[in-house]
Amino acid sequence: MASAFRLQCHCILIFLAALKGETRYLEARGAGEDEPFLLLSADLKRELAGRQLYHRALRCIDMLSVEGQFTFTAAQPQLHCAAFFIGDPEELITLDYDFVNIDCQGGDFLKVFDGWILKGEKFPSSLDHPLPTSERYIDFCESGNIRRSFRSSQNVAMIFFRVHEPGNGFTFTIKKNANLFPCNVISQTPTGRFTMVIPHQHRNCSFSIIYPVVIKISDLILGHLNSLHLKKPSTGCAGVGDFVELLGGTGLDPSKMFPLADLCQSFHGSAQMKIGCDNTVLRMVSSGKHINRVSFEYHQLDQYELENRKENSIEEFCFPGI
Amino acid sequence: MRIRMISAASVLVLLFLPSEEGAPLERPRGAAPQFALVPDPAWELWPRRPRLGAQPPVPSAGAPALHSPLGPCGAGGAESPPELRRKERSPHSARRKDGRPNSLDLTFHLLREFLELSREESLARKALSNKMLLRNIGK
Repeated sequence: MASAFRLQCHCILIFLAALKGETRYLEARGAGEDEPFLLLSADLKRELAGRQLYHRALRCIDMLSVEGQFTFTAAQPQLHCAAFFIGDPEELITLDYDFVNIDCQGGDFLKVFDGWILKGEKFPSSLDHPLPTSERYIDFCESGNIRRSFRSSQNVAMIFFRVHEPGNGFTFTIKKNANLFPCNVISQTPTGRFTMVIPHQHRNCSFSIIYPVVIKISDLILGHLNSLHLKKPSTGCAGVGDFVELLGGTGLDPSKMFPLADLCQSFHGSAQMKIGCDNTVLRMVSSGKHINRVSFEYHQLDQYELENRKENSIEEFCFPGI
Repeated sequence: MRIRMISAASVLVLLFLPSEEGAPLERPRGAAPQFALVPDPAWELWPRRPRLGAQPPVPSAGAPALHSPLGPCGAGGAESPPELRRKERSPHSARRKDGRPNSLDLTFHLLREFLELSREESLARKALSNKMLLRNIGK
């Protein structure tokens, strides 16, 4: 009898744990829709991957969104160089130094930054990144023998470098790894859709689109799904609680952008907003008490839409001519 | 008396002049641009790598400060132009240790142009991969 009761308790506990379910909702996509490699056997995939290490020369100012090996060789003194790395929202960037020939004592440097920084503004902002700013820079000249590999905390990273001597330079390899719960993202494209999930984590996550866009939020869930507990209403956007805010501005740092709207009630449907700013950010603030999820899509505002503004458009910020 | 003083002074001056074989600056000067080619995947320590946090040498009228020990020969002689250029650059390396973050002044317009280029590169790579894939499937 006691063992039967114990078995029932175990079953109830398993059932409750399954209902609590902190797994990410995965959108099912047809195999081969984006990845024809899914149709192949593992052996053939390995063979194809092994042959396909991409290699090209790195420019002084460059943007990389592919995996591969990249070599920079200075043809003349190059004093202000940077390379941006960007992946898909569900990817992290890994950089491995293969070869470095720079004169650190002579003023050369080579630094990796965890995120992007433009005109002094960082993404993710200092408020949203797990590391302090000083630790987001990894200086090869100071730590080259210790840290030969670097992995970003989000889908973007960059390097800064300066090489005085012609002929000097470096080579590195970029790989991408999966990120199960993307938090801070910069969109590669002006059009797309995304679902951001923050499962019981006390953190704030931003999705940045560096184009004027119309954004449609189709699904916002702040709190538990199928919770067995009584659901308490959020305490409001301005106070303690979980909410989503829309920001607009002309820089990269979400903490320096204008708040345009905030949402603190769950809903299903479509809430649309046109934002004519250079940078649009959807930011979710999460206390860690709930599983929060927001689904949205966005597309770039064309010139006609920028000039003809009506219906939920923000007149005061960022539109040309204001 | 005067002659004695002059000769004593000459001896003292001669004692503190550098000798040919004891010119440690020449060794580092020759070796300064030497950086080990790094064989994959192991790394080698660079020669005379400064300790972490060390400040770059500040040129002075007296004995020049270098990371390597000067040895018995004391102050160095004239420096070559490449060495002078490196020393002129080294205040820049001090600047990067002052806590100001590196940044780039790129407009959003240019950033979008670069994003577009990177997207095209990515598409070209995918097209090439698909081509190889179809070629392999066809075999």
